[in-house]
Amino acid sequence: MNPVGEKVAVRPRREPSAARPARARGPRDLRFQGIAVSPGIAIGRVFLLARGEAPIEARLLDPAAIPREVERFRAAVGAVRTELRSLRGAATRQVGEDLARILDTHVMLLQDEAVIAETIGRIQGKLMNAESAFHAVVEQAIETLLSRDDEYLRDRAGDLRDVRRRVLRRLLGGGPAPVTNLKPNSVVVAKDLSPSDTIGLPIKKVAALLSDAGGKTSHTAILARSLGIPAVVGLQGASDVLCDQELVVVDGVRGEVVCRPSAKTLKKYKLEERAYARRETALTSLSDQPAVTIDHHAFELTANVDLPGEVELAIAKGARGVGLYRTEFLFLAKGKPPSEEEQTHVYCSAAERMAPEKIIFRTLDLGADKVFPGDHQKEPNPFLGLRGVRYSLRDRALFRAQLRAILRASAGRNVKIMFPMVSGLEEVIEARTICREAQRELDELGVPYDERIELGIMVETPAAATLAETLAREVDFFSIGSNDLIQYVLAVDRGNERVAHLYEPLHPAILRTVFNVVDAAHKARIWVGVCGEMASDPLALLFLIGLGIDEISTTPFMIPQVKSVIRSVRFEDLRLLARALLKMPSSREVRDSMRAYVGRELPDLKIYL
Amino acid sequence: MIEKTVLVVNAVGLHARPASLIAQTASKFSADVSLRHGTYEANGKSIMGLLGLAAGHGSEVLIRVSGSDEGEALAAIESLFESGFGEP
Repeated sequence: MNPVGEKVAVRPRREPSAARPARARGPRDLRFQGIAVSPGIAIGRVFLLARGEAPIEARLLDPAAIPREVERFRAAVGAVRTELRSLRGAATRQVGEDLARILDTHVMLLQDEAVIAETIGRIQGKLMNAESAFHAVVEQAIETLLSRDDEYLRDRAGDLRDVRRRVLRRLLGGGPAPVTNLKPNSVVVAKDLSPSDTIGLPIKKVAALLSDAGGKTSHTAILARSLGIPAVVGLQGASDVLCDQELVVVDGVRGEVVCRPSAKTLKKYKLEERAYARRETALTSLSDQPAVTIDHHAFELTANVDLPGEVELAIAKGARGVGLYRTEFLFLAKGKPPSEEEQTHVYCSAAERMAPEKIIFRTLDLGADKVFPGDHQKEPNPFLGLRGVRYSLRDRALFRAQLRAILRASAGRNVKIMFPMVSGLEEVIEARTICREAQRELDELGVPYDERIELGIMVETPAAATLAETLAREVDFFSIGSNDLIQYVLAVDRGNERVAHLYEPLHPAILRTVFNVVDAAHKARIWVGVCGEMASDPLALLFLIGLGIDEISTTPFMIPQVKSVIRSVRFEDLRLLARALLKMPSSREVRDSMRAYVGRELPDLKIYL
Repeated sequence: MIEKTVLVVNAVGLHARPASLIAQTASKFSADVSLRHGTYEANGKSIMGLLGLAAGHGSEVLIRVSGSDEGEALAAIESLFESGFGEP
């Protein structure tokens, strides 16, 4: 429901494992929703990457066997060092030095004299066999890292598991990591894909990567993007349900995986796969082109950014600015608020990279499903609870520090500030007052900032949408947060599979609400954008264009598609279409008439439907 | 035994590479080295232990050294922190 947690993995019913032959019978079109981390469409057969560690046999050594056991351990470590070095060499050639560095932690573990010494200490002192001694020593390090509630350290714990597996395999008499006998067009499925697993795969035969664990920052995600392989992660439980050699469809754009696709689904995705390939070729040529319609109506096309690193991706995809910079990541990754200096550093470098284009920093949208690890106060209904600007107004010191950091980044750069989850005028006035206080504090310190910085709000509550006319007089811009707005207006939690089908961006109530907001903004002569996924729905996009929305901000991957739609339509035609749509009584009529319109007037866009 | 509090000045904090540099440096000396960040404590010669300090940018870290070459060891490790481990 919330930007960071908006793709909720739905855990399908788990079949008893005994009933899992190679071709399990079961419902067709079993869908999983995960996090799309590398775009593309793939249809292929499942290859389950067995990642279970071999059971460790704990033996008590005969004291006479100690020297041999130590020697055996050293030999295994040496062999894995060599193995990793050659893997790193291959990775450098395949994906470049920068990404190959992710294997450095692996190498480091085996260079860690403390780990080696402690393992040998256990062999000698406790008469433990090498396998159980090494397993225990690494386990301790893993537990320490996991207990720190830090995304970076959690990923490193995964690295340690991976190295341990390699060493144990050697100790148990196995060779190097089995270069899997992958068939062409395989969809590799794992509980957790380590970077070295990914790099070690015969890439040419891999159609897509899926994993139960992982997030946007996982190295696997970054690797998959750089290798151009579609990937979906965070598919909790999928690896338990999917069977080897089973046909699956992977939609790396929407983060959807369809298992046992029906003939109809398969046909749809086959078309989409081809269209995607064609489109990618056509779209890459678009990144330097402006987002203007045939009749010269220009739109500001910007990116939503979750992580500092995505600014680069946004630029590569042709974004002219960042329309939504989510600042939560910085806070959640560490599990505690970052210092003002730290924030300033991150905001400055993002704004600098984007300059002279704009970057809109949304102040902290904590609460709901995003809370500090230590903050365990459970709310009965967190999406109607203390979140967004409400949270910030409660913790003023934190809020002021964030505002000062953003203001510092605004000096000489194109920075704007936006407040999330506003539901009334008082909140706007209060937030603005605190921003003025932050400015005065900087004045006293003689720190420069943009004195004419624009302050805007997210319009994502029905209250803000209804009050748009009033609020438009108090702010410099609106950005419609369509994901939350749709859920609140329709009272539908789209993470709840029993009602998710009711989530409909083209619902007449949504069309009229959005129209009201855009109209109010334009009457007050302020600009208005949309920063939710609504713009990723091609039909909804046509409506937004027709309303004359000023800015469209979307996930970087969607930018080329949105741009190509904008460039192939006439604003004047869509303006008339939007007017007609606003009078329609049901979403079915809206969709039907839009489909008919596209079929008649915009045949080039049919591939998106 | 001597000790000194230092600041983590590089942007990413005590990540893998800085941890490895500290451990390599500490291992050159015979003195025992321990680092403390908040309630976490680590053997200065263990890369994994140092990672577990979870010391981000701006953290204060207490270095404790004891042994015959403690002065030199402390100076060497302190200068690593001061230089930001050669990182921005």
